[in-house]
Amino acid sequence: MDTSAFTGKFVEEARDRLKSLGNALVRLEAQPQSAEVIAEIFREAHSLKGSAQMLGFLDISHIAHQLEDLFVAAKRDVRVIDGRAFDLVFRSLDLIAARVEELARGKAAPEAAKAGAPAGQKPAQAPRRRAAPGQSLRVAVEKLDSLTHLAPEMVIQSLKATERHHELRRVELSIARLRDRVREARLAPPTRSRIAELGEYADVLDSITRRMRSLVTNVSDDQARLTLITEELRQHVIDLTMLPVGTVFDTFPRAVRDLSRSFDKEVELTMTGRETELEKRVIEKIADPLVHLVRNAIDHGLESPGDRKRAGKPPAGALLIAAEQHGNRCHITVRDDGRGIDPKALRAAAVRKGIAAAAELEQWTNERLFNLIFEPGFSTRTETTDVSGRGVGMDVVRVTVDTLGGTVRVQSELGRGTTVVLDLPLSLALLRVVLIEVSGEITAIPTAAIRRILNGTPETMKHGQVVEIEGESIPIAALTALLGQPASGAASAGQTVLIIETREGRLGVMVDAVIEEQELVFQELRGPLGDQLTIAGAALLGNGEIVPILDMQALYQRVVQSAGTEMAITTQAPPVTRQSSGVLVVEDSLVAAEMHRGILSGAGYHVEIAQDGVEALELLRRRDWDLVITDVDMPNMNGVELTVHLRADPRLRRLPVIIVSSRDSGDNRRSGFDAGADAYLAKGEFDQNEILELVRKFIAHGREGVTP
Amino acid sequence: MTPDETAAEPAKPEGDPYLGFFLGDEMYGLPLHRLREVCRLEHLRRVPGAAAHVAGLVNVRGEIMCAIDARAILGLAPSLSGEVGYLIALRDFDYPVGLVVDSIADIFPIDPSAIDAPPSAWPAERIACFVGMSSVRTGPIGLLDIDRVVKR
Repeated sequence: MDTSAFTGKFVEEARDRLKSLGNALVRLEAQPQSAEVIAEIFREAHSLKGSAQMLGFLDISHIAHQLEDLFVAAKRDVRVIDGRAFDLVFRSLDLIAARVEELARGKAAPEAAKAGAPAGQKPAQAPRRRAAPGQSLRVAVEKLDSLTHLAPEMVIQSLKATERHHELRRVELSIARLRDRVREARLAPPTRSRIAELGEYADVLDSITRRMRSLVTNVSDDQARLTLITEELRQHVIDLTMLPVGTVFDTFPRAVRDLSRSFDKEVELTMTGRETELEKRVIEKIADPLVHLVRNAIDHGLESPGDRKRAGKPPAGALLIAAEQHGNRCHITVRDDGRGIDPKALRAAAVRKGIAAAAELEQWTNERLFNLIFEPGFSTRTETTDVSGRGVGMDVVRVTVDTLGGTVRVQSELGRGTTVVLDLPLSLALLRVVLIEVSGEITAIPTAAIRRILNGTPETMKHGQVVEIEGESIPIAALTALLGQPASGAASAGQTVLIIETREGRLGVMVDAVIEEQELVFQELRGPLGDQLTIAGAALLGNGEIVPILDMQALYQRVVQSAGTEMAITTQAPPVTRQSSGVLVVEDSLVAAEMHRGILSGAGYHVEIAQDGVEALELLRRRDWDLVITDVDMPNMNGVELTVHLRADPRLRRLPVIIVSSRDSGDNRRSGFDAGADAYLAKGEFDQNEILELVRKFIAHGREGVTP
Repeated sequence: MTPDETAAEPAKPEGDPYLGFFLGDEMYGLPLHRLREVCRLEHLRRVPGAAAHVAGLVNVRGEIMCAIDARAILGLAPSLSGEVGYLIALRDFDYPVGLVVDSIADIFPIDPSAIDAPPSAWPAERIACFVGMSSVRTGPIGLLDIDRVVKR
């Protein structure tokens, strides 16, 4: 039997079985008496042995056979499986795994020949090609089923189209016949009977009109149905490439067990959202970063059992790995309840590494400081450990997330723990972008690359300058100049500047206008435009127009290269801030959030942005605030829920809340006011003065002092 | 000539079919089997900073296609008329690509034995773009080596 075609399938099956075996073993270690788990391990080992035997991978089947024997004995007496046995079993799983990965790389099995299988001397390339298991994709049957259901629908639609075509033909014939008769009638002298015929023509016309009308209705129905089917088809095809995130998560119980042993930590692992689906390409890329985060959490985050007891914590550290879908994005959270990140230690390390001066670092927000852990070669540790602490690995996290078009957020509280959230697209096909206008043309910038949108910046901000924004020197460049286009005529005051964040630094980009935020189907450019550095790809808008998607990393490098020669440093006076604690804008759309910020900080208010209700609550509980402006539709916790939470909190109950939403019906308004909102504005319909006036009133008089 | 072509199109008595098109007054041709479709060039999205021979991007029924400027490749002056031209969408490339031309002439059968070498007086760069020269009833036609033209 030529087994090479089955190697790929075997590799996939073996990987799955090894994962289940690993997880079952970890469970057995926790509850050694469980007959159920022992039976499961036995079953998995037995099946693995069978498959390996069938394909002639005798080394694998041999080890699996021994495992099987061991657990047959364990079924009778669990004491067989002592600590030593566990280590042995784990090691043999590793051996099998290593062998399976060899097979995956296309290495032929020597045992196959030994076993006498007629391997033959076939052309060497052929089997190697076929046995590239990385290329196959396993698809759940129900996903294929839904596609199968669509096929007859499409056939029906195509039959209908043929039918409509015939109908149209018949109507055309009737019209032609009528036309001929009218022509004939025109030649003959007008008589009484001719006039009677006119009535007949009118009747024929009438019937044609009716048939046309029903045809138009039918065609429009067909078209609506076809649009629906097409959209469904598109969705299902995307679904085919989606895998549950569990395929990565399932390796963690074993990894966490091994890591906690080598660091002498006790770890209690919780995983949620295994079933959340992501595109295969995304899943493959995030496996490594997640391992680094988990490693880092166990090594740096969690304290030793002794230290934890002294700190009044349970000896086992809690480690959470969670996946959750938010619209078209997925948040993957890695959270530990360990010692947290010490901003002081970070600042000291940053000074040591020459990243910034001590005085400058004092100005940095915690969020920005925490991001330093992703810098290559950055570590606060003075001694290094075997696995982490060399500052290797964490930079992989940010680089990978960047290339996937995602973002990383780190939150940490000293003594309480650290949370890292990866915000990732579900599919690489869809990209969230901000559409901008430059020289009369629309261009897109990935939302993930944009940090701030400054509207109506002062005239002093010009191309080639370095400006200080929020305590940081940021070079400003006109996008037209970066793209080698003639400067746009509208280079007057009140320009829009986007603050772009790249791996290497920040950059202010001047554009003519920001249009809106959209989710677009990303298309890679190949061929002559493939190596066009400034453009990452392109996408189509709803109206068929093409928008190039800019590569901000490449544009940043352009600016840096030209910096030495043209950049002149001007220091911007810090904006005048009114005596206020600040306004929190809760909004998941970057463009909308920045619009609010533009209006309010222009009037001198200090503004911060939270992306959803959960983040907002966290920020609000941390210090005093004057006012909250919130959107309604947001992931995690929506604006109405947030308002309910605020009203239930004795410390935040008196905080004025303005809801700004695109949901404008009476019901929506009522639910907003019922939740305890103080004002409700419809998105896009209020003007700047209206919201400023409200904010001013509420801040001056408090919630009770204003009647909406 | 690809081996494909000789296999798929046995030389008929009248020759292999070519699509003839105009750049200014000059007529050029490419093998018909490399043609995917011809459409009017509308809404060309220029790409700032792209190489001179890349006219831009075109939406061809939902596919973003790279449009190559045939004039720039062949060293001709840009069209003065300012008229919108045509896009010849090509097949058998591993990415969507098309050629921008002024107008379409006709389909001509050309006998392989009636193809002469391009004039040696031409610059080497231009010669490299041609399979050879021939003539049809309306006049001379330059037969393009479309792979060389696109992949330049």
